[in-house]
Amino acid sequence: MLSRRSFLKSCAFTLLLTQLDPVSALQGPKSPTLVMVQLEGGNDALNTLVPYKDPLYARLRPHLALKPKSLLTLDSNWALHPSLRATAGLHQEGAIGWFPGIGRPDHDRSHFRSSDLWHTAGDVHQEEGWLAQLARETGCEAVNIANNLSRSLFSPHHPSYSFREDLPRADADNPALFKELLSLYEGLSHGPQAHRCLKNSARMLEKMTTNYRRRLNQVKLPVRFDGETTGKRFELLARFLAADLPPRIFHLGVGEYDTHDGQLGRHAKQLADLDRALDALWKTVRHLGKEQEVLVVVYSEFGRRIQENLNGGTDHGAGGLAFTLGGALEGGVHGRPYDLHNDRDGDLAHQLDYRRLYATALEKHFAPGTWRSMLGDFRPLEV
Amino acid sequence: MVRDICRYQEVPQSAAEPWKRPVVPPGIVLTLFLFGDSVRWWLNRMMATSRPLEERLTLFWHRHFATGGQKVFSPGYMMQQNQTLRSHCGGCFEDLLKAMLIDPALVHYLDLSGNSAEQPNENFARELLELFTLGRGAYSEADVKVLARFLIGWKTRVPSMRVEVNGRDELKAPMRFMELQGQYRVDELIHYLAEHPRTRRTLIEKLWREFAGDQKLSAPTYDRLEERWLKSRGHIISVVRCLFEQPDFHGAPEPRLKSPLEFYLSAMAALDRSQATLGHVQRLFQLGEAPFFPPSVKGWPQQTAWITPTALMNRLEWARELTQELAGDHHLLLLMERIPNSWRALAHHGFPTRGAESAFANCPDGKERLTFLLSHPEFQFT
Repeated sequence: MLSRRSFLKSCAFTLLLTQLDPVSALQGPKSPTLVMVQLEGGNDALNTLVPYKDPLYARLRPHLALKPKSLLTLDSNWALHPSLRATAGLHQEGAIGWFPGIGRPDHDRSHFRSSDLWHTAGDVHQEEGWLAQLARETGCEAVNIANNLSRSLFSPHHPSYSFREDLPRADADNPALFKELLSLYEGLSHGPQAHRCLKNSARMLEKMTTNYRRRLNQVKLPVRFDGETTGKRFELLARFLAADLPPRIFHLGVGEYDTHDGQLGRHAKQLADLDRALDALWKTVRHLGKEQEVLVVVYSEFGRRIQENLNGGTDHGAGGLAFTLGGALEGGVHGRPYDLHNDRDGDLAHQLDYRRLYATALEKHFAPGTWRSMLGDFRPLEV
Repeated sequence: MVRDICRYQEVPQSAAEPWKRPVVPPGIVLTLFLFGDSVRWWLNRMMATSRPLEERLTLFWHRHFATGGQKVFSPGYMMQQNQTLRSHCGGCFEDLLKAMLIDPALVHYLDLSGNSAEQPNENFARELLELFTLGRGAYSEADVKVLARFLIGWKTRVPSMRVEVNGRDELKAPMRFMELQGQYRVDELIHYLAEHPRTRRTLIEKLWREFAGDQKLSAPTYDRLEERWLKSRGHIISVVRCLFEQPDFHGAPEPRLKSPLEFYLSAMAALDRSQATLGHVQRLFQLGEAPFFPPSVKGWPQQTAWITPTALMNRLEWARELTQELAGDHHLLLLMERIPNSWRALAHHGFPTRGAESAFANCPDGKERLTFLLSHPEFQFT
């Protein structure tokens, strides 16, 4: 059990660290927020950021290649899926950085293995997810908004808030009993790890049902969020930002991108929901004047095969696409055009390790100086 | 005791089946709403069965061959799979594996249906190796591709709810798969996978975790279980029975946090209730452990992953709902004795705080006290 003295000691130590760290005082925003958004199921990179000039694209996808005149052209190499209208606008303003061909050399085509790799920054045997570790090491609160708690926020020591899309509810019908129960949970101190986790959860629950709930409810958002679940999840995120609550690390899981069949319609719908949600989020962030403070990183566990399958869809692939919105990162496409001639086993060859994007987000935005201890050899990019 | 539990097939099921199967339309049904009755049916069966181990093993295999109703979209398929799992749950693993290979729900879930020779779908082949048999690291990407070619021609027939295999069972050219080289039929490959030492290890470890929780599986115990596996040719109930007889199994286990489903079943037992409602099914969905709806092909997560502030809140709310639903007067004390953990903790150690004691004393009625006991931290552990 943590004694009062060692607790005080560790607090003092953390305090000292933040005071002595000149880098964080000079660089980056005052209270940076990191939002990771996973497009669940494996988003098709080729039909999101489209290599519309490459003749192989249309040849390998006779049914799925998007018609050039429907596309939103970015430059002489790239165009966006027609659903991404607002995103294209944000790109024109320089708010979006594209990272084509992101992945890892020993890619994996299984959903959860790939997700696990992303979520643990490559060390799947580690019990704690990479965002939970970041939250614990920087003393931040983290929020999960998805169907299930993301593996990236798994932690035996540092539980995260987790929502599907709804606001936290008020406490139970019998407030006195509820309060006593929570204090019983807080009394758990020794024994298995689950005890500690329950204890922390009870403490957070107390906060969630009182202070947080009130402030999340009171907040007035400048825009409406629609687009079903995806929109609702982004709305909850926007409320957290607008209410100026302590959590500064978020993980959102959205969509159903596993388009093995009927891809054209399904993918267009998914991206349209995402586009509207990003649009509304960014209008809110602008309204709050937090464009520099909030960095959104959108990724997916993998991209899909270059060639379409016979069900009008695409199967699990490797090299994917990530993009960032906001923060102090430079906009534009950070990478070479896809090389469809030199595919790797039917997949896009990977040109950027995802951990370098993590390192970049940490160094340029969230917590300068931490990338080395968390990500080792994966250096930040110059963007 | 162990003998009786394991010989469940000799136990007659109660004559009046409280879990009479709901009538579900075959084929693809476009509404999730229809799953409510199927989930309820299984929950009722879990609570009323005279063969608890049979249901426990069926659930174990459902978690192993995790198939999600959100994609299968047909309660009929899911119910059929459930019956298949139940009829094979204590039998030979190879038979079960073969049954799953032509199970419409699983075949549909892993996109095996309607794949073609030009572009074989690798999803099923990959999960077959990674999740159902060998486990990670025991095979290569090339093995996945070879196996996928063997599984060409599978097709789910909607009206008959059967999987048809279009005679491409045998591949003409000799090929290399794992350590095998030559010409093989699918059932020979399945036999090879079922008998593979890595498959054995995966399953023995998984069965141990299922029944012994975080208790460490020692090397000598593993060896005895493996010996039993080999002797019985992968007969599940023999292995499980052997597992129950191991001294380690009876060692003091670390208290394990109940999963949402375990919480629900134990609360229902404590309250002497046995009828699941659609509300209960909804709660299980909310807490992420509704049967027939695993979050991914990997099944459900391990224990500490269940704990978040929101999940704790949902449990506390649910405890209240479950007691509020009780009709009329109950023999409160009798029921409280059925909530052994929390009740014992209170009886032995008294109330940890004055506040807790007065909160309990001030509960306006018996139901409120039951709520308190079901919400007590001790009740959350097995």
